[in-house]
Amino acid sequence: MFISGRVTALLRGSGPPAALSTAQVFEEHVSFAWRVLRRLGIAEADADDVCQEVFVVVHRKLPHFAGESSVRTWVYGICLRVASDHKRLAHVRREVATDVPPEGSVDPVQEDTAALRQACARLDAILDTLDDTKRAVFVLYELEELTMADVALAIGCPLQTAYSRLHAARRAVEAAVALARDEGATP
Amino acid sequence: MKDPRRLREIGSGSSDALRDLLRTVRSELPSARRRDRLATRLIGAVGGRGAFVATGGGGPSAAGAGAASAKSAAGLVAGVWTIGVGVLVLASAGAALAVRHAMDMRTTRAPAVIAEAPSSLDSASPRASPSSSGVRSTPEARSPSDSPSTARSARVIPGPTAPLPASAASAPLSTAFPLAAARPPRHFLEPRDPGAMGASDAVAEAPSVARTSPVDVVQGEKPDTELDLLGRARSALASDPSIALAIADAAAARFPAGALAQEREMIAIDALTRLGRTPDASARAASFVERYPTSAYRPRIDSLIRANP
Repeated sequence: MFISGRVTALLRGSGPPAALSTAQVFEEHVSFAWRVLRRLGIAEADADDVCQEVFVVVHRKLPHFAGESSVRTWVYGICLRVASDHKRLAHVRREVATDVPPEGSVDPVQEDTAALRQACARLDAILDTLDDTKRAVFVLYELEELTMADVALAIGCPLQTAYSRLHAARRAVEAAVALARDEGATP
Repeated sequence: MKDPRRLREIGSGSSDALRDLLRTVRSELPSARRRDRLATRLIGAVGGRGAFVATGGGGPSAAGAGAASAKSAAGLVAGVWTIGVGVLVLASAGAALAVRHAMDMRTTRAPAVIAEAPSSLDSASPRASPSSSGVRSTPEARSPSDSPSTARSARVIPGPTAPLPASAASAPLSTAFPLAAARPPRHFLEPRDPGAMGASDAVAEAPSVARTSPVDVVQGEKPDTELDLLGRARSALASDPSIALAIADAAAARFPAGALAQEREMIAIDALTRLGRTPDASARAASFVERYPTSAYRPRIDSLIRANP
């Protein structure tokens, strides 16, 4: 269950968030973190690992977080960097034994719906055509619905740069959707 | 520059196909079970539940002085967290994992309290205290190679004399994610920064919480029902309508012919109006009315839309 009321009040207070715990940040943001990692191109099989990595970093850096942005934007920034590192290293890495069995096909969860999986696969195929910087802006703005100012903050780029990346990404995405439609596939 | 209208919204100039795609994809959220599993793993990775729920706002320099207050805050938060996550699934295998990880952390990070470890763990604990089991050996007499070469010990940072990784001991935390760059994600069990919080406090607390926690028996693994999801959506409505909307959309995807479809749509429309997305709310309300022309929710919908023109 979410306890957003209390947590949100804590998180949205001005200034540095006093006395936030990893547990609170985790609870409030793990769903978004997991989702954004998937859209940034982390395979479902790797998403739990990468998500854990994100919150290990959150845990280590939380005492130093001074509220320069909202906690959510801060977590997204960590997601971007961890995902980027993961993708960069993915081709040289081979997974070893796991602690927890991988997500089984019978897991009764939202994401197992065939239609949803199909839609995600379609969008991911389109997003895969973008370079990482455009993809990040598109995902954070169009799917996670950050403001462009927060997008720029999370990515660590000038606002104007974020805008141009968004426009370029939008053009590319619409073109890919149109292409899929013209070819007879349902995008 | 003003932010453009999002492609998911009507009037953004996006194609219907793309709009549908973006809306659908937003509902891909991790299941409650997956979240619980992530929580359990993370508790192991960060050094136990005590460290996990301890507040981290004080910074390293304040860690010592703030230990007492952090401890009481941790207790408070622990209660909230237990209710909040609806389990923390320390149940069954999860409990074993969490306890084991907590113990792992203890063997590598806090030799002083090893005497408390259950004897079953002593064989894997290079610094086992003489008083904790029948094994009589001094810490100095045992070398790391004495450790049984189980899969478990292979995962754990080995040996009593293994120094903290340089990154944890000296590198500033503000450097960019050495953890992510340098190691595969499975290897999370290395000691975290000792200054990150009241380390001794967390270490002393974590295993005992894990051992005696009443949440061990709270819940088995039960799939979310449509009612669960919508209950969660409704409780998030006032505080975070975007979460409420995401859950409602997830419920729509998971239970397309659910018995609570009208309730679900009510929550979604309510959330959209709270988010100020009036055109989307109106569109969704219109399709609701079209689909359920005689619904008892009709007056409520009308008033929601009227109140947010």
